[in-house]
Amino acid sequence: MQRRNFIGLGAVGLSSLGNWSWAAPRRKAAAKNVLVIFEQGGMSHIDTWDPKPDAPVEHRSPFKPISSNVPGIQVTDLLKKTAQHMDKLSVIRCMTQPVPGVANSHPMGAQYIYSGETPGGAVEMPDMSSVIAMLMGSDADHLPSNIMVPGTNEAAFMTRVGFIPPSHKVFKTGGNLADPKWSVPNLGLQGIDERRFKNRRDLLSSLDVGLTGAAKAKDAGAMRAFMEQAADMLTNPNTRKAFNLETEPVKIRERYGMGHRGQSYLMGRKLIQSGVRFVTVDCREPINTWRDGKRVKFDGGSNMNWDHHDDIYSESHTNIKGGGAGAGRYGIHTWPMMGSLDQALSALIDDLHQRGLLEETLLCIVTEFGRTPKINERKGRDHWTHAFSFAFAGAGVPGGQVVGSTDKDGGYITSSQAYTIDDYAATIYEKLGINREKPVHTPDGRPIYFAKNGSPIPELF
Amino acid sequence: MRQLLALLITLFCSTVMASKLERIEVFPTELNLASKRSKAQLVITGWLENGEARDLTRLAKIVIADKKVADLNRSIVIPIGDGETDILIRVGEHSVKLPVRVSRQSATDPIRFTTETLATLTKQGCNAGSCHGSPHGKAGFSLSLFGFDAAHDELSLIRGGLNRRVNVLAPDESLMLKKPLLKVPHVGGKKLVQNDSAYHLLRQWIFEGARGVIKNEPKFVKIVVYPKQERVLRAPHLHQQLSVQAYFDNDTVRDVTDLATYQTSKRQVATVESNGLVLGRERGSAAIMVRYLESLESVYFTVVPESEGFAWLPPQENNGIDRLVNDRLKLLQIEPALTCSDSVFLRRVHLDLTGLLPPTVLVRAFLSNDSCNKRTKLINDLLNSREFARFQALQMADLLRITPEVLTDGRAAFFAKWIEEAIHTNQPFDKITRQILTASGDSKEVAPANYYASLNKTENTVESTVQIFMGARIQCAKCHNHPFENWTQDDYYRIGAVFNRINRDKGMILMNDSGEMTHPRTGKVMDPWGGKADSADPRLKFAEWLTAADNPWFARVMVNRIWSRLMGRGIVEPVDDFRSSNPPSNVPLLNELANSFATNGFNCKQVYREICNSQVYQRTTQATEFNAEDNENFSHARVRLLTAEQLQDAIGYVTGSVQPAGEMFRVKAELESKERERTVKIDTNQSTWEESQTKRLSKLDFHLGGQWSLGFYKAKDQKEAHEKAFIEETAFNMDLAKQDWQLQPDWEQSRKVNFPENEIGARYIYQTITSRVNAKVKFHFVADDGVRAWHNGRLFYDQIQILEDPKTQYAETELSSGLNYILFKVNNKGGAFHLTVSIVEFDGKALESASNSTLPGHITGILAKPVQKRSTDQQNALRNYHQSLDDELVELRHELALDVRLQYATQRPWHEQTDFLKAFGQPKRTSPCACERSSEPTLEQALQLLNGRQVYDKLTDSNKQYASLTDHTLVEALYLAAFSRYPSDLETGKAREYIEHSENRDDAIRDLVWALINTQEFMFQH
Repeated sequence: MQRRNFIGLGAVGLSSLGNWSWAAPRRKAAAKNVLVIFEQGGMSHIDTWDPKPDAPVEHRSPFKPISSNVPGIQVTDLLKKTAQHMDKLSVIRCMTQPVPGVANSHPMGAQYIYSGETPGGAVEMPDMSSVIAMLMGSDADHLPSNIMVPGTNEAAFMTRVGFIPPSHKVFKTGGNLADPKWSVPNLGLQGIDERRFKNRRDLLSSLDVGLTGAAKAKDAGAMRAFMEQAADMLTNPNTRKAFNLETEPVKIRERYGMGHRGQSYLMGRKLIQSGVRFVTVDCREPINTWRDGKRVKFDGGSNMNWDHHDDIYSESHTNIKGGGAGAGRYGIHTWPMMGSLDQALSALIDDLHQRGLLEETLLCIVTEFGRTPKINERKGRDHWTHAFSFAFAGAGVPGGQVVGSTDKDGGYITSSQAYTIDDYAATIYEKLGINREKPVHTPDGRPIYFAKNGSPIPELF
Repeated sequence: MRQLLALLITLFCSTVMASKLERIEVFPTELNLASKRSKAQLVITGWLENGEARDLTRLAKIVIADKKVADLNRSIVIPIGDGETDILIRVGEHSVKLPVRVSRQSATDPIRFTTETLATLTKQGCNAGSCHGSPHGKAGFSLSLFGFDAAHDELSLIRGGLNRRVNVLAPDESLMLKKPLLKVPHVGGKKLVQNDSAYHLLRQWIFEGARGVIKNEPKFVKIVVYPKQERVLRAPHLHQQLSVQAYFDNDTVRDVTDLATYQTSKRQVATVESNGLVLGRERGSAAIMVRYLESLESVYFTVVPESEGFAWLPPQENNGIDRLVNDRLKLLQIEPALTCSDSVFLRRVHLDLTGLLPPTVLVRAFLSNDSCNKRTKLINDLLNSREFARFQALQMADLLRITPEVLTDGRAAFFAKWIEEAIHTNQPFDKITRQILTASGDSKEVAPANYYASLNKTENTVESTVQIFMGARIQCAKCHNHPFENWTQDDYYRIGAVFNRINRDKGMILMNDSGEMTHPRTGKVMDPWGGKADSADPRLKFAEWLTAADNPWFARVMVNRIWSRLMGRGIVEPVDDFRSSNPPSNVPLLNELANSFATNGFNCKQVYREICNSQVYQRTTQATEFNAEDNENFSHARVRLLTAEQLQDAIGYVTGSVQPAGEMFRVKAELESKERERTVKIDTNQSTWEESQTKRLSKLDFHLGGQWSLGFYKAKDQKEAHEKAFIEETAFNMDLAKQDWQLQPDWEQSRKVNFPENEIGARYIYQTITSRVNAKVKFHFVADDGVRAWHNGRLFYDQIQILEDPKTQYAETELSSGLNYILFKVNNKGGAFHLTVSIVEFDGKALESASNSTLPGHITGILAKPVQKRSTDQQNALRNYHQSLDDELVELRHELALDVRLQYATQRPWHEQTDFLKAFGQPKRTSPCACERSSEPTLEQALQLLNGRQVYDKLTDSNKQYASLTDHTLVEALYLAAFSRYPSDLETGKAREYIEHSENRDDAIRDLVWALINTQEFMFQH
């Protein structure tokens, strides 16, 4: 099968962009692919990556700091398994949002994460993944170059393609990956089998006379290309294999954890392995789901993201009387929360490493902001943008490193370094070797620089 | 070089043979060089017999009589010494004389910062938006964008950068020179060439002392560019020299041809050198933008390169549109396409005008009809149809952002219906525009007021209004002068001043008295666009200005939108980006359409009619070698993907899953009977509900009825307004009152109620309070002027003018248990007119909020009365309210109100936003930009068509329509439905073969339907 040039497919719209060029990178590209694990909701940093054993006892995290496999680096015991892979990770404890009020909400915070720039500026910025898909295309022509697994988090609707051609919009798989019958909705043949689909396609090609005399029309050509690509994706065994969890040995699947989160992380690895340029994994356990092959219901867990405004240490759901914004979650240490995360993340890092994928894949574990060092009157923690933690691995990121530090409550940054989500974005572009000095122009002619408010984080190179 | 010249002259003469040179002209027509640094770029034009112009600047022979006065540098005149002389210009036998006066050659003429230095920085790109002109500058050095703020630039250049930017004592050490010359690292790259005129100017300026803005220096007024009008560059004369002259307020003129910044709108069509020489390249038209200080002018060029083998074969012309389009095609040497077939026309015009595919029965009739005016008749029929009105209303609703999430309580349907009626009855477009822009009142009663209800800020209102009605994107001018157009920041805020006083409280659109718009940078109060600052409603003057027949920002925009809907591309594209640097592809065509529109009462249907009847609209999409490259001159029809709604409905029709229009009556009857059933069911609970509510209310300490208002009563002075009894005040009782009381929004503690009047007079407000026990109640009043208040007819508060002193602001009265009537009279002595009343104490206890009934005020008021005392109207009000609480009934009524056409995506007033529609670009209606509807193909669309859920569902029952037909008839019916044509024998053969060889006939039919809707012929207009 011929390798199709994704840049060519996108280029049907590029003529409207005016002048741009992807000039030679200034540094050698360290990464070929990016895998972003977006744990949405504002994951509490002091209960996970940044233990604060000396915080006042009434606000302290009940989870003790434990050693990792790197002497001197500790995390809480909610990350017990992941701690055994600290030698591959860089943990950045000095993440911050420089203008606190702007992206303190989930929609704005998520858009900040997706686009790498504070939302609300003069121009609506496209997602980083779309920009990268446009500038770099993909090495896997049987798959979209920009995929979100499953793309159903609370703020998934904030993805944007902005002013760049809509063909680069992120492709969301949807669904619950723990479901034994899960398949990508429009990628699984609906109600008919392959033979019938082939018959249909044959009939179509014999009847499709095309547009007489207008064969060169730009849109017709583009649509033909997409139809071919789509039909190919629908039947290409490689496409189905890439999305088919059952091709993985059960042992591997169990290692990740046979729930939605574990299988989503596994899917992330599979897609990276297939060569997809940018994969975002944004899962939260559904209320009715499967675990270890059996149906499970997490009563009261209607929205299990990290937004623990209420009862953060509950043994089950967080729906307390008089509660508000924090309802619908489960306690941070329970299985649908950190339980599944620690398992899945440790499996993912190890798996990527064993397969050699960590060499050229940049793995980022991110969230919109952290949570308050003080526990509030509903036994929860609220949004906190002044300090929070990210973690990175792969593509030349040094392992076993902690960057930055916070005060004894975990509230404010004490180190001289402090990094923003813009810096995170700039790091991604730099790792991929994209020259951010060259602007891309909107159809109006306005020059746009990506991640213009950030610089690559030096400690990650 | 000389050979080239000779060759050019020979070539020129040979062309001249084709059309003779009639006369020559030089610009400027006289020269006044009053400085030793002055110069003048000459432009010599030859006018041919056929009216075209040729640039002869480099071909003419130019001789100066007295070389001691002035001399030549190619075609530029430079002064030598004071005096007067003549320049003689000759081409062939034609000649023209140009008088020159040179003076002040021994006087100094220092370089001016504002008009020369800054202009040079603009020209070299230093202060562009991507460099030092960006909001925070670059590398700590910030200039204003394109030099619009000389004071800022002076500080930055001369006093900033630790004084290293300019070095007066050693100019060559200035960073301002070293960096762009790349003598030191400069991220921006090489921006100056040593010994270039730009370099010389900057260096000289530094050498002369790097002076900044000088007090009382002559101010720049405008530039004049020659040539001003459009020029045609015809091979081999693909060049044109420009001359740019700057006018100052001391009546001096300077040539700034080498200081102006030049840009082209289309590099592949024409380019321009830094000395103002335009070079034509490929066929097409381009605008050359000339920027000097705050002025931006555009000159349009049409480039006609050689076209071998081209012969103009005049096609059939139906009307003026054809003539104007063909004139341009002939000029550009582009071949016009032939007229399309009947079935292509039928499908195209149906989709364009109504959004729906033509029904099969109509296809058969049309194709077999022999009459020669059948196309014209079809166009008329479609324009008169309801489907046309609804489909066009949908497109207007996209722009006006009509969504039920924002326009709640049925206001979205209300507004959409109003638009549909306006289109159906063909209201003049200027009238519709004025009604929308000047709408006031309750958005539940005044449909066009909903325009403002969905725009919540002045900025949105400015940007939307300008984009929708004036076709311009003024957003850039919010923060600085527009970089590509003559819109200034002042203009933006002056338009803002028109809309800033709008009060959108609770869906009522009213004008506040105050709400001046101040310029964010200068703090100046802006006069509203179109009218003076003190007029009552500045929107009136604005709307008048906008809809004037000669306003270039109105008629052209609407006709261009209509053109774009029918042809797939506007004459100006994008349709809401009119600017001088984005020229129309056919200026006479646009002007003619606009003039005709304006002089014929802004009749929209007539525009549609004219365009649809033209041969241009009815051309095929077939391209030939002489028009395949043409994208903007309408030589052939465009291949266009059906829009999201069109495609969904088309698939619905072919698969039989959407009711044909005839079925709609039956569906409507079903809905009506469902609604009747439900109403009866709800009504049986009426008395139980009333009882339970009355019981609940009786337990409350007190509750309030609705608030009603009456007025306006004029008076001759405040005393009369306050004291005269315009109604029977003491014997007051709502049941006895005969006047026209208007229900106001419910009482809210501390809510200011604004009245629209501002003359001297008074208004009444009345309120009922039902109290459980006898209790004292304390009121707090705030008003601009004064208030009187009666309780059950007894005056308990009388303050002709409320003052700062709290003693004047409070009043108490004793409520009796049961119903109490409170009447307020508010007087106005002129100007602002408002009232704020709060109940601050009840029965000795301080009160936070005055309302504790969860029902609307007027309903509470009716329930407070004993059943037998309620009037029929009041009983009906209760019943209607109770019905409105039932979601199912409300939904049924909603559907009925929309004429049950919700099934058709192209006929709905607001979007359904299914996955299918979203994938195909249906706009979310959060922006007034036409670009919100994305029309480009994507992978998701392909997946939806091949395998999407919606398509799958529709296909499931698609066999039902066709199963009872024979194979042959079935195939024919499918082709007629999908493509509006009969299948060829070959096609019929293939399809029949497929069905015959299938195991399951129903499945085979579904496969066939699937295949047809996935063909290009189906999903594209062709």
